[in-house]
Amino acid sequence: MTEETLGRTLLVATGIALACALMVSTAVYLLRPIQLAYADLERNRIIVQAAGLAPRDGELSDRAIVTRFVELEARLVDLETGLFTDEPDPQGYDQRAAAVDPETSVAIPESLDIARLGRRARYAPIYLLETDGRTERIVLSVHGQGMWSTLYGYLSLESDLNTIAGMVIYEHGETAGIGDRIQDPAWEIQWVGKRLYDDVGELRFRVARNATPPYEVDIISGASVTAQGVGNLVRYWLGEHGYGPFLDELRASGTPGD
Amino acid sequence: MSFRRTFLDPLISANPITVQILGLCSALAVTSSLLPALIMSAAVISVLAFSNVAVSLLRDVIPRSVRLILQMTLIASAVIVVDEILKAFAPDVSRVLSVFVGLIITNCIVLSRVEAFAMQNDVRSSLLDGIGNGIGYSLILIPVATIREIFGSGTLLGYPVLPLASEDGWYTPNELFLLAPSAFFIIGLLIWWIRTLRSEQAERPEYELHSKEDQEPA
Repeated sequence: MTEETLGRTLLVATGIALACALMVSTAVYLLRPIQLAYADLERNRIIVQAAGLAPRDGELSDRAIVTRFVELEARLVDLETGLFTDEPDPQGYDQRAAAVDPETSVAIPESLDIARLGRRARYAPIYLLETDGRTERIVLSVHGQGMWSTLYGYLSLESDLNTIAGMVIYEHGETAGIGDRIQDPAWEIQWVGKRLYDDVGELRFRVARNATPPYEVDIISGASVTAQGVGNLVRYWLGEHGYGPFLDELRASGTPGD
Repeated sequence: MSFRRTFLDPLISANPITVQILGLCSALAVTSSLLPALIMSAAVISVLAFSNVAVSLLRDVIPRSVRLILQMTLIASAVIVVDEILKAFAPDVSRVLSVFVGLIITNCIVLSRVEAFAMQNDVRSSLLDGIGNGIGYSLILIPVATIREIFGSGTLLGYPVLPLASEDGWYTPNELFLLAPSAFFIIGLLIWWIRTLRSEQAERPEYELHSKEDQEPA
């Protein structure tokens, strides 16, 4: 054992600390892309489920997720104009980051803010399921306030733009065992086939007590605020400040075939 | 001590869990099913091997006054790297293990081997000691997790073993096996069993009875 001086102690400690820091940062640097790819995979799994490309029971393998996800076309919608946009690039667009940046978001007028969001991003990601050039389904990214937290989900519509193909909330901070029943498959299945608009084109869909077909989904008793939050966010995103102009545009152009 | 003894002793006769009674906390937490227990075992073996080798290499350079904190730095770095690797290649298991991978840093087995063994011994024996203690830890973790998963969920590695009553079988899972106390009972029974077979492991009672002591002083 060599003699212990203050200088040597500091030198050795610094040396070891630097070597460890180098080791840890190299590992993180090399592994981050793989970790991010897995995070994407989890999100893509939900989009594939929302698009109705996954069986309701049973897990899809990672590979099945990837092959089904690439069948979907990812696009960005400019909510102001209701038109598709290629700027910014849909790959790598972060709607949550954009929603808090004043440059890329707008304040929601109070009278229209039924989802209690405050602000929303100008561009929203959507996914199109097409077969033979015809749009079969369209998956809209939606979010809104629940009881305690922001609920994030995907709403998927049939090609008539009037029938719900599925609704999935994939992230929330609601009470375990109560509010989290918005993720109960028994509740999710209720949404399938529900209608949005009546014959004169008025938005009739809502979450309500003693729901009546074809426009209403039953509230969850004991979790009514959270369930109502899901209903409200759907009404907001289908409304004039949400995807309304975009859906009008689609109907007018007749792009989704029927 | 021979290399052979260095490697083999920690498996049973100086097993970190049943003899040294170290690392119990994580042994309770990660053994409710087999897959996380296997991954956790691999993580602990790698961390023990790495930190023992690193400390042994540096044992003549490390100043005595700050040796513990430098050992912890090396251990913590190894654990972070292992955690990042798990997050990249086994994200599901990594989610199940959650903080317990990070808590390997505070696992007494690692610090005790580094401080008690690697600081005094050459690199080769330290490597063997690290791997040996890691395997000793796994030898307890794996049977405990196997018992808990079979009786708690009726499955092993996720494959059905006992037909569940909820799926027209006859077995109703005993949920006690999924809770941490069951690991205490199983480890306790294991220790009892091992000490019955190897009575030299049984500890001397702290106090002898008076009358007995009078007759034959300990």
